[in-house]
Amino acid sequence: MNSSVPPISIRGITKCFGGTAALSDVSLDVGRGEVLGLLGKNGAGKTTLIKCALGLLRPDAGESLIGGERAPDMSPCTKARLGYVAQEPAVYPWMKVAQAIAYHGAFYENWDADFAASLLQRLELDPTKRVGALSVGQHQKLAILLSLGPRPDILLLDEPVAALDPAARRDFLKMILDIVANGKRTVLLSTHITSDVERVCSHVSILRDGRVSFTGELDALKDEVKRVRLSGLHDYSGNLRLDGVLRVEREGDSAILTVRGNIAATTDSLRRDTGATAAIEGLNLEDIFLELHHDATA
Amino acid sequence: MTHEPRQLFGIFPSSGVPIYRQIMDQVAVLVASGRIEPGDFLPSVRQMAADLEVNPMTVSKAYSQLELAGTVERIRGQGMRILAPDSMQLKTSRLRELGPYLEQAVAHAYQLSLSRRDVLDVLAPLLEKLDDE
Amino acid sequence: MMRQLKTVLRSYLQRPLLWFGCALYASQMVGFLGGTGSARIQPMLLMLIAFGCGWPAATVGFHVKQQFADPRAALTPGFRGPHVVALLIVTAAFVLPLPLIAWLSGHSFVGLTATCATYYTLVFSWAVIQRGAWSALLMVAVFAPYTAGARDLFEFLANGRNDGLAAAAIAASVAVFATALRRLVRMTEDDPSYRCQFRTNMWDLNARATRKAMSDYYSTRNTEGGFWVWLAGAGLPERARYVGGSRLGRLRHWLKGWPNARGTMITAVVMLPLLLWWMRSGMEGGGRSALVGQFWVFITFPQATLLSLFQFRASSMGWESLRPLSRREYVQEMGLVGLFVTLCTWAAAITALLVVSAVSGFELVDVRTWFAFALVTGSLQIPAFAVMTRALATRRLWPAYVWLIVVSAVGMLPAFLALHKNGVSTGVRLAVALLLAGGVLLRRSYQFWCNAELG
Repeated sequence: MNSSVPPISIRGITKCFGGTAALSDVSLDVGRGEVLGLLGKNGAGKTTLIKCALGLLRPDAGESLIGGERAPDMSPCTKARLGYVAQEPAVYPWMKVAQAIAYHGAFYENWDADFAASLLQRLELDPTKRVGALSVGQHQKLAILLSLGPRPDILLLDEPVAALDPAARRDFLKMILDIVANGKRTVLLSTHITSDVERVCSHVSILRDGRVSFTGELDALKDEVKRVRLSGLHDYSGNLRLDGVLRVEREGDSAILTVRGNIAATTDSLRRDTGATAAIEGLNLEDIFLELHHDATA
Repeated sequence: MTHEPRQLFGIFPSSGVPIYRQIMDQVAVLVASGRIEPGDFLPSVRQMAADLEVNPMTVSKAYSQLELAGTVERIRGQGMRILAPDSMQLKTSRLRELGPYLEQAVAHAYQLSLSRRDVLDVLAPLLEKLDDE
Repeated sequence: MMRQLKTVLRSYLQRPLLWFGCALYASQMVGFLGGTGSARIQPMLLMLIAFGCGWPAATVGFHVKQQFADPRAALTPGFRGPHVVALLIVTAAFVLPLPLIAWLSGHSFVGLTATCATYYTLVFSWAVIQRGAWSALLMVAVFAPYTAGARDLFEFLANGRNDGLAAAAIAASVAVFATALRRLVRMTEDDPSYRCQFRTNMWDLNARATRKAMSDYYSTRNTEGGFWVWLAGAGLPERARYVGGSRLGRLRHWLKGWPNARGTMITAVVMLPLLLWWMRSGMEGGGRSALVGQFWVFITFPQATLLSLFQFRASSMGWESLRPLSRREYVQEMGLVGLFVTLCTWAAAITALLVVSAVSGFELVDVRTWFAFALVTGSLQIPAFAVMTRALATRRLWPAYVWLIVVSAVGMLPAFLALHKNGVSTGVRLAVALLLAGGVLLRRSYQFWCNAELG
């Protein structure tokens, strides 16, 4: 195992279905101890990216390294340290919950049966119920349990909380935080719930139409994209669209701008040019996500 | 004396302010108001992260920044200990916090076409609340 | 109304399985045309009607079930009208042509309509309800062509001996059809039949529809403690014990997780002798020729077992391949388990043949011919398995069905040769050739699987 390579390393992956490119030259790394939130609209390519990263789909270009090994040829050793929850898990519907857990666990030498049992209780799953009879949320919880059983070091989760109620979601986030508490585990979490990302993730990648429109620390993103309110523009008729301004909404005397990059410098330029007062507001991740997806032409 | 994170800190993950900045700001406020005293230990990174339900890396970052700013010092094996604030430094930071509010007030006054005299007239009674120091 | 009717009719065209059924129907028609040439309708033609009317009836039934057992059926205004009318049109299209042709050739219209209508109704009603007593109808439909009694009755009616009886049969069919249709049209979620839908997506085995259908199947039967569901899960351990240490241990574990491998085997062991005996007893002519009509038991049935079990497995394969074993190991082990199930099914069939030959006194085959036949059909399983697995590697169902037919058709030849050439040596030579071919094909399939996308 090469320790200088990040546990999850996606390099230049391109994947086409039919004629359209679902992913175009996507690269991102998740370092040891990091939790990366993969954000994107539906159809942005999150699931495709995760599947390519794991070697379940063959990319047309690029490669993915998990634990330092090329994804399609991962060794059993690396797979034993890997946990994966699919977007629509397909656990065997004919088995009972307890049987499904025992069946899956039997493949792993490092399966922690006691931990699995405690998760079973914590997630409030009935071990005697048949998997086919579980609700969508319960099915997802079971998939989460199965992925965490071998105490993996590397976790890839594809919208794992989509079907969970708020209490279960909160609990799941706590579980993730427990897992990464020792700083040695790596998590890639794909979701469209921005508040979850804000709570749990140290890093964020935003996928738009199969391309990465941002990747980096969450805090850096919040420092990088802000809203600037200008008041007292009077008859200023010049162009407010300076370098770094993503969006302008002007109404008479005031304007709201979304600014990316060197906020202080841009704001100072605006103040100088317009003579108006400028107030800088922070944006939360949901707002940033929307701003970054806003069409520049609108 | 160590403290319960939940009692001291109110973190809003979905605000525009990064979590680490919130922690830093709140530590500063707690120290300035006297709720935490020099010599007290901040809760451990793990405890903070678990109690506030945020990423431990974020807490680490806040603590590192606080250490750089000289607000806390790292004691090996025990945690982060609050340093006695340099009174000069503390005042400077407090003044810095007040700055933007005053700027806004002045800008507003300018828009309302008020003169310096007018502003001081409004200000005088309000300032009576403050100490003469 | 007309516009909606057209839309509904067009929806029938989008079912690949129905196209397949139409092809089957057309092929049976050709055979039937030949049969009507003669003065008397032969009892064997019942087989053609069974296939020709039965398969489309099932597909139409599944299609209509999906239309009505859906919230949209209750909530959309004016839903019932166009859908029921379309159904009646399609039904008439499948039931009436054969009798019409026969009538034009001078045979009894009523008699043949009675047969077609009865057959169609039996299968259609089962497809629409799929529960309890209605399943018996399917059994009747499947086994009738092999029963001498049913064939005699068919001959009786088809040749116009008793039009009154035929008319009564038509009336009965219509009544049963109407009952099933009435239940379908009023079906709500608390009807236990609501969830019994054949919803496999022919194009993508990983599709949500397939997974949902599987879940629905196991969820309804769970509450009633169905036997097959119980059997699928019986004996599975509830505590995890590491099996990765030995290859054999893991292979056994994979087999345990193959749903209803056990159920299939039990069915095969119990049913096949009965089936063979039943079929044989209904066949005229000598032992060996009679066996030709039953080739599908030895060639198609094992591969079809593989196919049906694979359907259960398909959507979990991506996730399974991420367990701690390399891709090669995964493919090898799944292949071995699949081959094992296929061969076991074949073994049950071939043993059944021997048992029936020895016991029934129907003089099916002598031991030497049986041995040759066993050798050939056994080694035939290898290339057949290779072809089927290669077809399934794309995770699309319809190519697999097509290949199943191809394999069955192609496999008839060596099986026929083994049966009719005297001596074991032919059998041995054929077997060796088949094994060699199988080896080559298996390698291709293996390589394909190792590089396939399982996501």
